[in-house]
Amino acid sequence: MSPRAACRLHTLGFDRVYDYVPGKVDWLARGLPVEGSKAGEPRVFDRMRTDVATCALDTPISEVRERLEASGQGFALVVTSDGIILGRVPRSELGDDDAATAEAVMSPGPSTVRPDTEIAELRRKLDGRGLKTAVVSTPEGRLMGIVHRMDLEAAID
Amino acid sequence: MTAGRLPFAFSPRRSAVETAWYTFFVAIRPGGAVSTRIEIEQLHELLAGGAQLVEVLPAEEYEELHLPGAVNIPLKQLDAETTARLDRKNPVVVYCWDYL
Repeated sequence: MSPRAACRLHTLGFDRVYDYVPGKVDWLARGLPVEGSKAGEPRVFDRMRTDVATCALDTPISEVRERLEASGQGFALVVTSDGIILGRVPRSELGDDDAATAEAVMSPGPSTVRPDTEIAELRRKLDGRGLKTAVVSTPEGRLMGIVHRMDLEAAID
Repeated sequence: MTAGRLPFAFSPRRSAVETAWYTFFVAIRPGGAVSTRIEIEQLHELLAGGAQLVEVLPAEEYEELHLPGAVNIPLKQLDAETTARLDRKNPVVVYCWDYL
């Protein structure tokens, strides 16, 4: 939308037009101040954790297991070298073959939420699906962190 | 890579290939001028220099949440009349929600 707006401004005779394409999501993800009727409402970014266990497609299961134990999380996320989320490996799916890779056991394309999502809205979604954790990503699918349902409770109560 | 920390620094920047794609197919106007795509660092610099910030989302979304100091001119209402309040001598920065 903003590229079209920038183009339109050029056609209206504005010579110095800049397009902040990452937009409100990027601004919010950085925890910068905002204005408006919903400015004070807690958002996912406020409660997000970055202590996430991650691995690559070719990471051996034995190593994934070690990372999970170190992190205390129930799952690891499979990401590319620049952080794009490819899959999710729950601890329960690791199996016994330590030589296998994360790719062999991962569930591809896990659902993600944006950092600017209101906490109350995310809690409703998690409750509706019976989930305890949400994965937070940029609009491009780059991993930012995770948020636990119990952390949302603390933010709302 | 160690557990407990992301193995990369979070950055909303696009890769060089993505940026090149964007510039060539999206930002180049038929007349040849290019709308300059900026990131947060350039945004801060421009705002410090007096740039005007314009949110082009619908009014309801602006009312709920907008960047400090931004004015609202929805994309569908961008015309000579609605932009008359903008200062042509100063840069204008437009934004919406994200890349989409």
